[in-house]
Amino acid sequence: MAVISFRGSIPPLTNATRVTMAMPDLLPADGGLWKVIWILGDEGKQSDWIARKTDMEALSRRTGCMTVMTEGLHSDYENMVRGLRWYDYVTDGLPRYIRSIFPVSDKSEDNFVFGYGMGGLGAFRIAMRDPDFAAAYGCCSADFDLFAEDEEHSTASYMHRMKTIYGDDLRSAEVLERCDPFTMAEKAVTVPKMLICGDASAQRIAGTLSEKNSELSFMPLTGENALEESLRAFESFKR
Amino acid sequence: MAFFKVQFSSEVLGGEGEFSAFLPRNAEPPYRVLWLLHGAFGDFFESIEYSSVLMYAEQRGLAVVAPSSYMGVYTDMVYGEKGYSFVKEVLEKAPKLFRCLSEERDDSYLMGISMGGHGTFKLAAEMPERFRGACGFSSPVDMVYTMSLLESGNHGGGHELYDAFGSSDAYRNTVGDVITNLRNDLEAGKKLPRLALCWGDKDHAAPEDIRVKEIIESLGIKLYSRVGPGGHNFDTWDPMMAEVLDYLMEEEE
Repeated sequence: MAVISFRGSIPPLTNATRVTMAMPDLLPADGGLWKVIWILGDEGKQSDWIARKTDMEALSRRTGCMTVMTEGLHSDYENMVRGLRWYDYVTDGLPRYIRSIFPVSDKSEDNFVFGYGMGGLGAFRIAMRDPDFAAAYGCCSADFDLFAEDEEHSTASYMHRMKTIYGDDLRSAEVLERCDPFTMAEKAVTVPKMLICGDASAQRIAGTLSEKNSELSFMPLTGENALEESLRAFESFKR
Repeated sequence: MAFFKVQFSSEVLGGEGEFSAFLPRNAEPPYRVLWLLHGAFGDFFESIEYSSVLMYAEQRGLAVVAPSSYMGVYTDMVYGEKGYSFVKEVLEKAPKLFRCLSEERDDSYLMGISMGGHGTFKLAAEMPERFRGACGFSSPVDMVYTMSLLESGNHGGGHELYDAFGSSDAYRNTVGDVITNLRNDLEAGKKLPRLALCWGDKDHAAPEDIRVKEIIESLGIKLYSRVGPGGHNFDTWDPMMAEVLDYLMEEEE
């Protein structure tokens, strides 16, 4: 087994960030390249959060993949209107950097994306915008209703957070087409292989997308074991 | 610099090993590499914590790779860990993991602090074709001699040195017998790395290093040496690090 902790600055981010990686061994067998599971963590969590909550080394061993865990602060993994370009970071800057250093494959069929909570939202958006980035996506426990106008999504602190990420006009067609999961799902032309885990909102998204790709699966999952169970489910699903 | 801490299952140790890698922001890969060996009983963090070696390295476009050598005495201990084989495992595997690190001789440098200097000179003498330069700071380069001092009651070391090296006789004519191996390299016509040795004027290692300097120079080997004000600590070593790196990296005549 091997675990790597990174601290540094990776463009286009301008701040120091952290990445945690786990591999089945220090080097891939026979001078080959590792497949990669890109793992997007939850809101406000550091890059090793999922590794601390689950057995990430065992996941790497069982799948034979390098797992690359990143953090996204409070960004929704978006190119923020008032903040940093987190979407470009996770889909371009980070993969480019990791591939320039370590023996990992850049082929779409050798790459997978899993996200939990805010990371689940990030994984979903990558699947919608850049479906060829990876062979399969796991989107778990995301708040797909983030643009809803209900009580939960209307508090002052919530609106401040949303405007920081998406700008002042949260109802503009441009923002909704680009960022609202339900609008994205309705307009999606290419839908990759996806596992969606979560509550009723996740089920509604999955219902829309499953009409466009038979390789889409929904798993009802909430509660304190959801992270562990969704990772296990994704491990089986991505095969 | 970009910082990586790597923990892995070491074949040599039969357990988990650790090293760190620091990649410069101001250079393009493949990076030249400074292999940094910490002092006795420390870990990779020691030199980073107490010196500006990362800044000096980055100013010169060098990556830094620093293994945590177990017990830090850079030998396969008689009673203990295989500290030397572990460093060589890192030396072999790190460039295969970090594909941006050069393995070319002209891009490879060693720096060792205190006991790390023993490891530095040991590697330089065993693998002169692998390194362009090697420097030690206040280092027991000739560990055979150091053990003989210990055996005669003229050295402050304790049982851990016996555990590691056994005795002066046991260590003589092994891969750790640096003076003998440097002499053998010369006889075999091998090109040696540029060598440097620095110490402090109030340093307990000064008498050993002065002796080693005289022996090495008597072999006809050019040795860069500096004596800084101070004792056996980073206050003494840090101000000399940049100048030593410049010497090691100088274009050869």
